[in-house]
Amino acid sequence: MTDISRTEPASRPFGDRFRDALPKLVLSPSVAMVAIFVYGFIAFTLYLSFSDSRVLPSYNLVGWKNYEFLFRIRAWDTAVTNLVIFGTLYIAICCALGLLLAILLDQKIRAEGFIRTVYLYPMALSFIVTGVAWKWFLDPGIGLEAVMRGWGWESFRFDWIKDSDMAIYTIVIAAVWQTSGFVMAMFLAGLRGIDGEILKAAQIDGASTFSLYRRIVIPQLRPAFMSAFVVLAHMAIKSYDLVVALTGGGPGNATEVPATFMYSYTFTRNQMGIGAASAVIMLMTIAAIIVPYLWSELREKK
Amino acid sequence: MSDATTTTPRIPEDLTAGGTRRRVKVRGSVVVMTLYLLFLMLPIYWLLNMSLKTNTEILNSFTLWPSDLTLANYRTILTDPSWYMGYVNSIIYVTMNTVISLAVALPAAYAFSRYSFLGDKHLFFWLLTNRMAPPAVFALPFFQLYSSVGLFDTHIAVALAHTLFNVPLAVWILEGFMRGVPKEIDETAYIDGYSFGKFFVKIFMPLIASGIGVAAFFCFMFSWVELLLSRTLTSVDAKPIAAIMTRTQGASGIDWGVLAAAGILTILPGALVIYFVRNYIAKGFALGRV
Repeated sequence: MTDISRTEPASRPFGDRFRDALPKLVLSPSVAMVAIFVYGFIAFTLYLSFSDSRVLPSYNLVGWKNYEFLFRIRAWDTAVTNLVIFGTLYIAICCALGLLLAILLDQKIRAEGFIRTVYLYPMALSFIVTGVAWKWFLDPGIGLEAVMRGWGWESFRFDWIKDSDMAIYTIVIAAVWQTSGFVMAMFLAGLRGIDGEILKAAQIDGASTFSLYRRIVIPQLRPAFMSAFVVLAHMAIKSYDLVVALTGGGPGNATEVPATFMYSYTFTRNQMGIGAASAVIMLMTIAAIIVPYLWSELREKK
Repeated sequence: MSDATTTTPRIPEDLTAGGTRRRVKVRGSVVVMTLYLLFLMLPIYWLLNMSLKTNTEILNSFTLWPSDLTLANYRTILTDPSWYMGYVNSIIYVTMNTVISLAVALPAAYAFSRYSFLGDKHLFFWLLTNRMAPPAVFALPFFQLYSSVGLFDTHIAVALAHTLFNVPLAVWILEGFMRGVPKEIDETAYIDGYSFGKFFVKIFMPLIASGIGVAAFFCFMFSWVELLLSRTLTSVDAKPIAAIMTRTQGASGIDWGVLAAAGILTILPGALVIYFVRNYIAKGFALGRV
């Protein structure tokens, strides 16, 4: 990009100078806002996580006590384990399903535009609605199990949502339902960017369809995989609404995730310091994923 | 992305095996697509089905469609203020948020797309990363700030909190669309004597109308579905519908039918908006944005 002001006639010096300053002028409110709110607020949460705040914020520093306490709470342990299970499965299934659908959709298919729009629809739903819909569908009393039994399959059992060992997997199902279409769209955009000449050349050399995909197409989708991973990972860490609507963290606290933990400790159990500490840990986890990604992105751009 | 469809190369079909193999492959993909489509439709169908039934019918027997169709659940929602005010509240703050976000993002995106200055790429990405921060980090400070200045439980409070996440996204989307407009158009307009403001509103904005549509859609959607912040920052007067739905769930006796109807009504605005901007969204994907 060249500086636009240099191409302007020299007869309008004021306009020139104005347009020179313009980018800084229009950007400064956004930058200032972000700086104050994002970083100021992160700093405030960070400070609270080192203080003995309970119902109200307090400014007495207590060092690492909140963090020490946090890691001794069983519910936090459950929350972290759940996040690991949920995150791994969610990312893996979404990527696999998204890739499969994108490859299938990339063949010449009638009504592609229609199918693509339908696949994107779940993304426009609130996680609350997704959660409620799935909650009832999976509920043994009124959902799938009841239907199967009503149709004569008396021994049919599907009560994962009530089973504290399996409940976390129902969250994976609902989350995959919501976002796999989105991942499909990301991969589809990536597939469309691959040079057809390479594929033709490989095919003339006798490559089978399978190895064509494995050796040429999928390696070239690396950037799409990277961005899908980053988007999905941060969504997994932030997931809150879906868990609240689907299981409410239950049965017991079997499906507690860090975000629900943070909310309940801060706003219902009045342990603000511990809540803040858990929020900080979530932030650090996301940063650990995002920062290397950004770093590599920016280095490539140069 | 219809433009992309026509120009881009496709994975070539197997040249030697001829028609049969191709037909098998296509049939296989149709099966997978249909299965996935069913998977997508299932919960929505379930919800719609339940919303049209009475509670006794829901609990006692299962039918694929309501045996005595009732709109009573919808009537309850549309006549009971504690329900319909949730929608009103949500719509108020979502609209506010979309307007504010776009007003801030348009000039910023223009600056990024038209001028290069020291560290612009870094600044651009830096703005975007802020969106990734968990809302949990912001819930506490916002709560404290709003409580102390008396903004707690107002619509503008939620709208402003969501702006923090929406502005970077809107800048990102808009910048992609603006980049597609040749710079000569700006220069010609200046030579023709247009002032900057007039040029921006009269000439530039119509050119990127689809971009504005997509950005508005994403601002709308994010704000519409976000729960953690909107739930934390409101209690009665500005409580969003999503929070009302979770609250009702917590009660001992669940009014299944009404809750299902509320869910269906929550889907409607999103479905409407996505229908209107569906072609633009595809364009956004083609640009690698969104």
